This record gives sequence, C-alpha cells and structure tokens, in this order.
Amino acid sequence: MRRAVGWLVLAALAHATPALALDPNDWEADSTDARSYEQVRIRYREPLAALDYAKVFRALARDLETAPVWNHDDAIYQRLAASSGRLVQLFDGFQLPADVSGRAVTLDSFLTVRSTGAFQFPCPGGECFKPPDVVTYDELALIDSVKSEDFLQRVRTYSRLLTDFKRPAVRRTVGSIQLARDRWATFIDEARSQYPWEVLLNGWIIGSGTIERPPMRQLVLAHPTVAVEMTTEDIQELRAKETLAIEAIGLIAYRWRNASAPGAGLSWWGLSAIASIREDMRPGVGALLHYGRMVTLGVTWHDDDRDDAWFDRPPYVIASFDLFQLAKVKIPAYRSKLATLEALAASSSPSR
Amino acid sequence: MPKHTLFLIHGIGAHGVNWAEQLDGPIESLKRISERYAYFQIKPLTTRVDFVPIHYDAIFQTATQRWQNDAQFLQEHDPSGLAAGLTEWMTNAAATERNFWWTNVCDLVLYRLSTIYRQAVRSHVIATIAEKIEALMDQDGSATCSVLAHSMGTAVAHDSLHLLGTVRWGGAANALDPRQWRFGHLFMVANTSRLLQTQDAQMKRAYESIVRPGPNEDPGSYCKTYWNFRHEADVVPFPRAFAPVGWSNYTNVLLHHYHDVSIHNLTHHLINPRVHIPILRKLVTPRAVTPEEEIREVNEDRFPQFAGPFERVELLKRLGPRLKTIQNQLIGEPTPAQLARSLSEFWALIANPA
Repeated sequence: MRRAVGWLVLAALAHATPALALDPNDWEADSTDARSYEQVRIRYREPLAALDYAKVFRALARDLETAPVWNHDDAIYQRLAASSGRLVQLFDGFQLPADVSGRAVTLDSFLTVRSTGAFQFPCPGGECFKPPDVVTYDELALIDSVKSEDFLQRVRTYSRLLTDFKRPAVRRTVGSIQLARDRWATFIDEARSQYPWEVLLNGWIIGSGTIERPPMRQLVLAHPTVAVEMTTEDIQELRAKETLAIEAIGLIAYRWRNASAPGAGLSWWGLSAIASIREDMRPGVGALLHYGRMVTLGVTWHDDDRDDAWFDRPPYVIASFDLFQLAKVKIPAYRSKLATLEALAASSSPSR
Repeated sequence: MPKHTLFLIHGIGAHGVNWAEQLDGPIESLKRISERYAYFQIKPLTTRVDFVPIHYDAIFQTATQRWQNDAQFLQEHDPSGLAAGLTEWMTNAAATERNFWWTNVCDLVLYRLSTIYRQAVRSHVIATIAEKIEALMDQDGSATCSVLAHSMGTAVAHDSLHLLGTVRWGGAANALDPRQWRFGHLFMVANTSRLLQTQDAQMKRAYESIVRPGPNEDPGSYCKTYWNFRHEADVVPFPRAFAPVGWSNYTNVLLHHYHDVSIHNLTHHLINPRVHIPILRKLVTPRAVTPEEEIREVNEDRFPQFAGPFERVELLKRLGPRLKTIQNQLIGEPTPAQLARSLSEFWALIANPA
C-alpha cells in the first residue's frame, strides 16, 4: 500500500508543474549571488573600469558554459547560450576610448549600427531575447526554479551592464529631448500671441517646424490690438489718442538668443500692414514694426482733412504692445513693487 | 522585481494637475478595483505599479487664457467697438466649468489643426516619459514601462511614442529607439489615433508608425502588446476607428456595458472586468487575477450589462423572459385553474419585479 502511494506521489510530481517553479514576474534578485550584477561588477571591476565590456561578456559566456545547473540539451539553455554568444559578438573588437568626447562618438556609432534591446530586463511583456531565441516567462515558470533563477540572474546582469554601458547615450538623448521641450515651452510662452485664426493659418502655411525646433517665422493676419496714435504735425502740440490697430497681414521672424539655452529667450522682429480705426476720423493705413516683445512702433496716415487723399498730410506715429505679454510680465512686477512699498510704509509708520 | 511604471495620458476636457489622483480618476479606480482580487490583498497594486500621470492640458489652457485676456482687453479699450464685437466670443475662453466648446472641442481643434500647440504637447509628453525612463535606469538599472491613454490622449500617446523612438535627438543615435529599448504594453481606451493622425514631417500615420507590437529589437515596433478598448455606443473612437489587420499581440475589446451616462469616461471603461483584468495581469503577473476570479467578475450577476442610471433597463431585460414564460402558459385554451395560476404569477411578478 505504502509503495503504491509512493508511486502515485512520484507520478503526480512528474506530471505537475515543478513544485519549486517561480513566477518571473514576482522574482526578486539576490544581490549576494555570484551571478548577480552586483557581484559581477565587483569581480570584474578592472575591465569595467577600463570600459572593456567585451572581456566581461566573454568571461560571462564562459561561466554560463560551465554552469552546473544546466543540461546543454535544455532548449532554454541553448537559447540563453545563443543570446550570450550574440552579446559577445556584439562587443567583439569593440572598445570604448578613455576620453569622454571620443567615448561619445564611439558609443554613438555603436548604437547606430548595433542593437541591444534583446537584453532588456525585466523582459518586455515577459519575452526575453529576440527571435529565434525568445524565452518567455511562461516557459520559465514551467522549469525547475534553480534553472529559472540562473536564467533570470544572468539576463538581469547582462541588462544592467548594458544599461551602464549605454548610460552616457541615454543622458544625451534625454538631454536633447529636454532641450526640445524647453524650446517649445519658451516659444509658446514668449512668441507673439496669435488669435485662433492665426494659429490655424500658421499651422496650414508655416507648418510645425520639427519636434526639436519650433518654426522661426509666423504670419500675422487680421490681428486686432489697441494702440496709441500721436500727431507729428507740430511737436509743440503733441496729442495722443487711443485707436484700434488691425494688422491686416504681416510676418514675424524669430531668433534664439541661445539655441542651447532656450531659457535665455527669443528675440524677434516683424513688419505688418495695418489699418487704424478711430472714432474721431476716417480709418488710416500704415505699417507697424515689431522689435522684441515690447517694442511695436509704426506710422499711419489718415485722411483727416477728408479730401480722399491719405498721404497728403503728415503721418501719425503709432505704438502698441502685446497685451498678454505685457500683462504677464508687468502685472506681477507691479504687484511685487506695490507689496514692497506697502511693507515699507507699514514699517516706517510712527508707532502709537 | 522593480515596479512596473504606467504612464497615464488624459483625453480632452479641463484637467487639473492632479487629474489622475482624483477619487474617480484612473489611479484610485484601479486601486479600488484591484482590491476585489486575492493577490492584491497581499500585495497592493501600488507596491507593484508606479503610476505616472502626464498633464498636458495646461498648454491648451495657456492658449485659451491668452485669447480670453486679449478679448477682454479689447472689450474694455477698443475705441471703435469693432474688434470688441468680433472677439466677444473669446471672452469666456479660459473658463473650465460648463464650457464644453472651449474645454473639449477646442482641445481637439488645437491638437489637430494647430501645429505649434500640437508639437508643444508632444514635446512635453515625450520629455516627461524620457525623464522618467532615465530616472528608473539610474535607480533600478532598468525601466519597465507601459502606457494607458484615453480618447485624445491616445493620439497624443501615439504621436509622442513614435517621435520618442524614431527621432535622432540632437543629431545623435537614439538610446531609446526600439532597437535598444521598448515599452511593455499599450492600453488605448477610446482610441482616436487614426482620427487625429497628421502628416507632420517626422510623423507617420497610425498604421504605419512604430506604435505597434513586435519582437525585441524590431525597429518597426515599440511595444510587446497593444490593447484597444472601445465602447459600442461611444461615438468618439467611431470615425476612422482603429482596427489594424494582421497585427500579432493586438487585442480589440468591444464593450457593451452601461453603468453611467458618461460612457466615454475612462473610469467607465476601467470598471469593466474585460478591461481591468488584462491591464492588471499585464502590469503585475498573469496570476494577479485567477481564472476563477475572472469567471466570477465577468458573470452577469456580478457585472450586469446595465447598472446605475440604467438599472431599470437591466430589470426590464430580466422581466421580459419571465413574462414570456407566463404568456406561453396561456397559449391555446387555458383551463380556469391555469388562468388563475398564471394571472397570480403575473401579478406577483409585477408587484415585485426584482
């Protein structure tokens, strides 16, 4: 009877998922294990310090070949060994130079022609390596945990060594992405404000630039703004009058003060053909010059003697400003100054 | 094992910085939902998943705020009254309450038709993702990331991921291109990535981009699996619906439940077990929800097709077959006793239909 029960238990064990199988999704690396990234870094600190990754990956491939946990006929071992061999090939004859600038160039050419994504760990979507050597987490969950542990430790080590190797390139990529983000943020923040129809027109005509650089031109169309007009006829009787300036059509050109430091801001200039509309005289026409976010100056001619001739009288000087930018820049500054003055007044008032 | 990072990308409408952390937002909803499953009672969702909400609505709000300010200034100072009249429609552009045109339609119009706001949104999303990946690589030596996007956010996610993986940033080799690194899973809810696709210089159309599943190192794909969730009555993902042919590791899930009037809402999608179970399994482990738990959760008793404001529809749906049964008893020439029994059953059912 005992013997029969024993056979039954053995048969059940043989057909069941290995009792010690682990879930790779829940696996925690043991950093004291000799195969772990942490121990490999210590063991190979000299070649790693010399950036000789080829030597390290060759040594790890030899270590795998003699690993006692694997039978070389195991399908998973064969795919692991093939991928390990591919890693050796990837770095064969490759050496990062010691100087930083040379290293960046060499790393750039390495990543341009060679791929390392097959060694990403944790394996994306539970699939390690690349075809035809793919090993899935589902397969690992079905084998002995000693083997799956060995597999996971080794792939984690490959992955983390490659992360160290690629780190300067990742920094450079992310740095360029941040620069692009800062350029767009500055452009949205500092460029001349556009009304909805101008936004659509510019999208249609000027386009999007690239994701790294905003367009350096901007069309102006039917852009209304409040301006001030001054007579130039007699400087002794200078009079200013509020007017509505409508920029019928115009063009703005931008330039980065420092393209590598978008925070330094945008400088720009532009020219628009305008119509000036006042309540006390017939509409005028003229031109408006923009220089930077605050300076907007131009000249207009009105038929103020109503003889149907616009240019027979001295022109008016017209000045305007970007309302949104002015409000954004000046109002906080005024508030701050007001708060300072109030504090000063409070502190200097005689005590009772 | 390091946590799985899930980037959350919102759709159209006014969204504050904390949009994802709100009670009815995706983070709290997924946390609450996960507690139904035994695995998460031992290992809470937040111990396994790091949620990274991405907020880009501020860029659109800058535009609407600017238009509102300009229009209001013109209202007050235009001496002719001409421009004030022409721009009056913009004086309420920045309001976030009861302002459907400016908070919803304007987002769509700006993203689809304004190249500068579109690129500004994309660059912001790309930078947020890239900075997080770099930080994870520094901290854990690896970055395991997936994306959950909703509505217009699916188009934003599509465009941003394609650019992240294909541009030679700064003219150098891209260390995050799909030959070097890839996302785990993309969960696209109410997918608009075809509807809003553009032909910008560096962009590709939705079916031609790298935002599709594929094997490691494949330069033409950027994730392992792609999940497309669409509600049958949601009109937003209906035009130019996302339906690729021949993609492996692509799953389309069509939803039929009605638990809220806002069927387009992200949380209304997430409460459906056919949506959240694959998400939880893919983010954590296939064991996170057992087959038995899945059968229990998708059961009509547990997750009815109609609930909340549609509860009566569910009731009527159940009532119909029972009334039909009673009706069938009366076919032909029922005996007086049968008639009495059937009428009695009918009145009892009407009195207590639940």
